[in-house]
Amino acid sequence: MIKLKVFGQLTDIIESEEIVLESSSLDDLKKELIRSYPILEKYSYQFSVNHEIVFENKHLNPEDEIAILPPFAGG
Amino acid sequence: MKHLHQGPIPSSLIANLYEENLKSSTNGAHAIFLGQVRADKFSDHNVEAIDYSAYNEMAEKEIDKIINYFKETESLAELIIYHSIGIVKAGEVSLLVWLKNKHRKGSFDNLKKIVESVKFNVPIWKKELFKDGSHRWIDERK
Repeated sequence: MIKLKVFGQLTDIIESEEIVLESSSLDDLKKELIRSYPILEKYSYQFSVNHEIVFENKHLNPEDEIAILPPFAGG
Repeated sequence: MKHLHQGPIPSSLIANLYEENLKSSTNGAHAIFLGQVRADKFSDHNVEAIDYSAYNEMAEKEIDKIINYFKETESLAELIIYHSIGIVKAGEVSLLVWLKNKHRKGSFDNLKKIVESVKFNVPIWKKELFKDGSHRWIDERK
């Protein structure tokens, strides 16, 4: 089981700041997310694993900290 | 928290930095940026405040990276960055960048690049809060 932290506008979409998924890889996680929240296809976001942005598929361990991040808007 | 500040950045923090940063006279240039929340209007709604949220641990790391990068590559004497999280009302300050350099050359350009780096690289998000209780997430790309 993987915990996914949710930020920004996506907290309104997913209605939570953290959800639990069964995926063991980033690609599987993306597919599982879209299955659960098809509306996400309309939004832009990227993923971080242990505070580093990740673009390619990666195996996920239960102790990894995974987050889904909409485009940043600080400043 | 090192760089994230709960609520608006107060004038007392800026005054303290003024006292600290001017103690030494080896640097001749101080370039400062303050980001203030604007009382924007969106579809007849006035922005009362902005609620900033952040991926705190990652945001602190990314701001550290920005500071280290610019201090090393641009030989800056010092670089201080504070960004608000939580609610900041229209008129209050949510971002402070203070750059110390030996000379003014490069100070203005670097200040601009640093502010842009904060906007582009730090996981912080903002939603405008309106008087009727509604809100709107800001997408900086639009």
